[in-house]
Amino acid sequence: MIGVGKAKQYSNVLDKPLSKGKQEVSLSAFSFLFSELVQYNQTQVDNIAELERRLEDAGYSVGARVLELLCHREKGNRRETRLLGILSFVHSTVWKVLFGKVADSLEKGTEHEDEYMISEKELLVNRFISIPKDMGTFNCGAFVAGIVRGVLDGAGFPAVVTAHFVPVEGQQRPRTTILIKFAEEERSETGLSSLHIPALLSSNLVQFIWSRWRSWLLQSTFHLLDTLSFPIYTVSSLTCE
Amino acid sequence: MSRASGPRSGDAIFASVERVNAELFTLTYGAIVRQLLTDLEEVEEVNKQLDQMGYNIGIRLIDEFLAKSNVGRCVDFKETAEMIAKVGFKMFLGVTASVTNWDADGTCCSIVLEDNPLVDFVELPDTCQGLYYCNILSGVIRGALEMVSMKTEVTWIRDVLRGDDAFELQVKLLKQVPEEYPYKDDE
Repeated sequence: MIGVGKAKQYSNVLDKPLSKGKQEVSLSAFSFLFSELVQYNQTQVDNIAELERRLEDAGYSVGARVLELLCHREKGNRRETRLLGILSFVHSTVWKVLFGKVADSLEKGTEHEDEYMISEKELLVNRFISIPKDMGTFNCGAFVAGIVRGVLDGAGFPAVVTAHFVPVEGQQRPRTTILIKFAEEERSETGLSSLHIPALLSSNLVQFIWSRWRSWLLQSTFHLLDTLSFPIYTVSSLTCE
Repeated sequence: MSRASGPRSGDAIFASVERVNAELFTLTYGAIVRQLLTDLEEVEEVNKQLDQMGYNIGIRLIDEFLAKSNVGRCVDFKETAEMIAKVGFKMFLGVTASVTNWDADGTCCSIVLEDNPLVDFVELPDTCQGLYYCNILSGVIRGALEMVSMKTEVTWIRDVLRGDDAFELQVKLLKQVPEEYPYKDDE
């Protein structure tokens, strides 16, 4: 039989051991594929904005999976819960795995508090792409912007992410800047993400349970006996912490 | 690397070209397939579109293949198939393939892939059972061979995603088109 051993059968894709992520394909193979992605999407749209949105959507689905994969493999099943933490995760870990290098820079916007920028002199996806004049500011980096948005969104930091060309002095080709604008509620540096919420809530929870318990005490004994066991258990376990 | 030396091995070429993480490639391909499934809805249409994309890639990829592999003209279809399996797959995808199941007159064979970077993390849902997930590969082979004057038909025989034990592509030579264009051939 051919391929015995290597092409081992797994009934479920989840049973398959997770690869170490060291496998590689040639850059040309990826570039050919990416160019097909762009060309196909060009046939589906009427304008540049729509094209960027579709590329971003494709990237988003990559980003969502990358987050899951990398948190599992590189971070021991932990996910960043701070805004700066997740940004540096994108800038270093995600970039390193996907593009083989840490991104050139991660900066905070000077004009707006909630804006951050990841810049790359030569974004991998733009390596073999030149934009025709009539397509204006179109940037295939929209795909990478989508990846970033997918990662951030999955980690609980929704943001609007866009890709822009920024001319560099003395360089023929502009660099690409990925602009990240966080949604309103993420403005504070400590970003309220799901992992923080239980800790913050717990004191509220104690109060809540106490108030409920008091109101139950006022109710009939019969009712109280019925429901008492649960709140008491919860309160004691919380105060023990 | 000197031009005068003979054909280079797939390993040597793969080691010398720029490479990217296979996961980026895999996930990007997945994004493409998902987008096609959403846009086209019919699995059959998706198969067709993937094949078309592969064809588009193939007709461009052959140039790079010839430039980097330094292979000369293949004497027969057998040698061509070996080249695809041993050099082509290796230099682009970093995997090796083998050629088997030749028919009597040497115009039809199977290329068997042991490893396929396109399908990591992939499982076909019930709604996509008719999907040839890797159909882009058959298009690439068809496109590339067409550029070296060989009309072929490439079909999937086995597919791990459909429960088989390997990926097997059947490549059938339909006809050898006489060269009509002034293809540049220095020799």
